[in-house]
This record gives sequence, structure tokens and C-alpha cells, in this order.
Amino acid sequence: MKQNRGLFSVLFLAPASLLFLLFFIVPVFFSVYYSMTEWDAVSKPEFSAFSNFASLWRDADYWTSMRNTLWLVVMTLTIKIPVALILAYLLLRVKRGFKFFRTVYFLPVVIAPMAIGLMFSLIYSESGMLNQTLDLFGLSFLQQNWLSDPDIVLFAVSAPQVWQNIGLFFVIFLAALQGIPNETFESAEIDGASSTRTFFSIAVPMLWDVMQVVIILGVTGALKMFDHAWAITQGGPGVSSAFASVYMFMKGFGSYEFGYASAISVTIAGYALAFTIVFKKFFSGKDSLEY
Amino acid sequence: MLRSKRTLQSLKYVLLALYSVTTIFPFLWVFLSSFKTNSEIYSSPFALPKTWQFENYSKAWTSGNIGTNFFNSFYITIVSVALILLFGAMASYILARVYPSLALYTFFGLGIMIPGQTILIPTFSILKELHLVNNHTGLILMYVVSSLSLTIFVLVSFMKTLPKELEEAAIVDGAGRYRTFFSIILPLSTPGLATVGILAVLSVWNEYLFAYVLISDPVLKTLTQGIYGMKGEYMTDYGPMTAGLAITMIPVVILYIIFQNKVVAGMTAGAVKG
Repeated sequence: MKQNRGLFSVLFLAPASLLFLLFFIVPVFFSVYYSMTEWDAVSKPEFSAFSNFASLWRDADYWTSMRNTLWLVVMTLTIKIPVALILAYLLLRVKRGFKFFRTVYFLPVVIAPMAIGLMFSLIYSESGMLNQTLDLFGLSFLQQNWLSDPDIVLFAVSAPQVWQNIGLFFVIFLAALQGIPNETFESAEIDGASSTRTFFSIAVPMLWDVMQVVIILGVTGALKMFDHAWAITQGGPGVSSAFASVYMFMKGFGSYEFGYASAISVTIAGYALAFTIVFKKFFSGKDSLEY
Repeated sequence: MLRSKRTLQSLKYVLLALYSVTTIFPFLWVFLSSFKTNSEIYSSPFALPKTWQFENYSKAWTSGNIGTNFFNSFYITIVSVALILLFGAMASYILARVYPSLALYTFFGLGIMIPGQTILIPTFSILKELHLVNNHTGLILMYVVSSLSLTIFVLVSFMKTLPKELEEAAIVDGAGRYRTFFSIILPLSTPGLATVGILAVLSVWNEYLFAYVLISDPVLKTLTQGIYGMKGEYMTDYGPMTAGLAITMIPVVILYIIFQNKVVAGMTAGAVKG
């Protein structure tokens, strides 16, 4: 029986473990190896130690893409989280229309980022919906070419991602708020606390655990951000709307510098892992998985 | 006091309604535009179509190649999700109830912690060696691998909550472990499987980056690739372009409306686990 159990376990674990090992873990190691080579995707990779990383350090375009990624993180903290949290708090004790609003707010989350990106590129186009709407409200002085000004394009490209993420963060906050017992809010109200006060002194502190999750999602999401930017501008003009992953892709499959692109992807994974681990350790003292 | 409360209540609804406009309006615009002529889209962007231009859809479907893309995505999604559920459930059963192993659980956890972009270039070179580039099997393989971690995380915590008695009774009755798994555990896990299944459907159907790298043959391209390709060809012809977008979005929206609670619960659990 015991032997039987062992054999059974091995057989049942095998397909998932082997596939994951061969097509995820092994490629991660390959990525690290490729990052230390010169490789044009055709001839054999040539070992070059850390020269790719040294070039990265001096590559202004890389730092532009990192600065853009950081902007997305800043927008997570200043736009996505506040808006999502306020929406969830407003909706929390609404009886009529609760289901409708939740359905509608979450809707963008389920749609392909590529489709959302393309939709926004139509919206931004010169005679597209955005400029027409501005015209409709008599704001035609605000009309412009949203995708050619390097100062504006970054925000134009980030907007669809921010918009989709708000829906996701909103349901995460809503679920967490629903987990706080109703009496907690009620007793605060009886004590005469205004709903603004209740929000800051009860809801926000009790949401700290979920807040951490959302912050980590915001940071890793910014590092993974690809489809929206690719659909709208392909990172351009130049690299002014390229995020970390977009720049990696431009170097990899745009100019076939596979070694250099691997170095970029190694830094992306490094930032994601480092942030997640440090953040969790610092704020929750938990460093292992819950199992 | 009561009056100000009522004002506050109305203000709340106004704010909620305003935000809902920002989430519905763009989709509505795409949907309406997909039935309009090009000049109508420019001249009266917010009106209903004068005559409903169904040609936009047939144009997108045939000359825009979206039909082929649609069936490719459909096939890839079905096969990938079936494999994700089968392999994921098998592994989760062992980790949850037969042979719990923190090491293995952490091993799968790496799939959530490391961004998928990291393996893009190696995957391309490995699959090329295996002649699985420009091949649906290669893409399906990558979709299975990318979804396994989350599937296992959610299913393990679900399967842990199942009562032990039924399983023990089955084993005492002499049902082998295989039969116990397929005729007791799997049916009991239906709610958990539905949650991860829907998550997997969404992530495979919506995926673009791996498809873009692994598939270049026009006959094999997926729907997200198809609509991206339309951008070059139909950028000035909004009708077919928005029809293509609608074809991509509608199946997902229907699925979402039917299984809304599952989708929301799955996404929340998935996000929190990650």
C-alpha cells in the first residue's frame, strides 16, 4: 500500500512537474546564461560575462524604459489604488444597483489587453473618439495628437492599463471590505464618526494586508506591462512610451540582440523578485508561502 | 440631518454612475461603430447607426482573416484549458491530500513570482530546436506551463477543504486511488475546477506576447494576433476594425456575464495568492 502510494504520487505529479521544470525553470536558467552572451539569434551565443549588464548601465534608452515603468508604479499609488478603494467603499453598503456596478466596473479586466490597447489607439487617433468628445463639450482647445508628443504619449499609453487595473483592485478591495463585520462600521457610526472618518480610521487600517498585495501587483504589473503599449505605439516615438518589457522585446525580436534582451529580462525578473521579497519581509515579516 | 444624509446618498449614486460611464462607454462606442460606415463614425460618433452595416463583420471575418484566427484561438483555448485542469488537478490532489510537500509547492510558486517575459527568448529557442515554433502544440505547451502555478495554488487550497470521509470510504471499499480521484475527488472539486477553468480560458484567449513570438504563419495566428494585424491594414477603415474587436470581446463578455461570481472570485483569489 505504502509503495503503491509513492508510485501513484509520482505518476500524478509527473506531468505538471516535468512540464514546469522543462519549460519554465530550465528557460529561466537559460535566460541567465544568455544574458552573459553576445548572440544575434542565428549563430552560436558567445560568452561575454557581464558586458551586457555593463552596456545596460550606460544605455540611456534602458533607463528611459525603466523611468516609464516607474511612472506606472507612481500611477498605481496615486491613481489606481485611491480610485479603486474609494469606489469599493462607496459601493460597499449600496443595496440597489450593487450587482450592476460591480459587473460594470470589473468588465474591462476580463477583456484582452491587446483589444483594449487597440480600442484606445482608435480612441486617440486624430479624428478619434477622444478629440470628438472634447469637441462635443466645447473643449476643442484641448484636442491634440495624443500619440506624437513624447510628454503626453506616456500617459496616453498608460491610461488603458490604469483603467483595467482599477477594476481588478476594486474587486480585491471590495472583497476585503465585505470581510469586515458590519458591526464594526455600525458601532463607529453610533459613536458619531462620519463616514470619511470611518473610512480612514477603520476601513483603511483593516485593509493593510490586501493593500500590500495590491502594491505588489501594481509593481509587478508595471514590469510586465506590454500589450497596451505595443498595440498603441510599439513603444514609440523612439522609446518614449516603452516600458521595461517593451524595451526587452524591441531589443530581442526587433533587432535580434538576444543576449542583450536576455540581460534586460534578467533585470526585470530581479526587480520583481527583489521587490516582492523585500516588501513582504519588511511589512509582514512573512517570507514563505502560505500552504 | 436626515436630509443631508439623503443628499449624501444621491451624491454617492452620482459618483458611482459617473465611473460606470467610463467603463461602459468605450465598449459601447466600439460596438456601435462596428455597425457603421466610416463616414458615420467620423461625423456622428455617438449616434445609433443609420443602417446597420453587417458587412463590417463579414469583411473582418473573411478578408480580415478574423474567422481563421477565431477558430485557432478556440481550438487552442479548449485544448490548453483541458490540459491545465487535468494536470493541475492531478498534482493538486497529491499536494493537498496524499503527499503534502512544501518544497514542491514552493517550486510551483516560482511560476507566480517570476514574470513570464523572462522565459520568452529561451522558450523561443528551445521550441525552435524541437520544431514546435509555428505550431499550435508549442503554443499550447506554453499556455499550460504558464497557468499551472496559479491553478495548483487555487486547487490545493480548495481540495484541502474537502471532507476526508468520502475518500477514505472509497479506499476502504477497495476503489483504487485512480478511481477515487476520478470518481470522488474530481466531481467534488467541480466548483474549484470551474473557477480555475474560467481563469485559464480568459488568460489563454486574451494572450498575445507568446503567440506573437511563436506563431508567424498567417493560417495559424490567434485572434489577438489577428486584430493586431488588422491595425496595419484597417487603421483608416474603422468599421471592420471595430468589428474585429467586437468579435474578440463578445465571447469573453458572455462568459463573464454568465459566470460573473466565479470570475470575480477567481481573479481575486488568484491575485491575492500571487
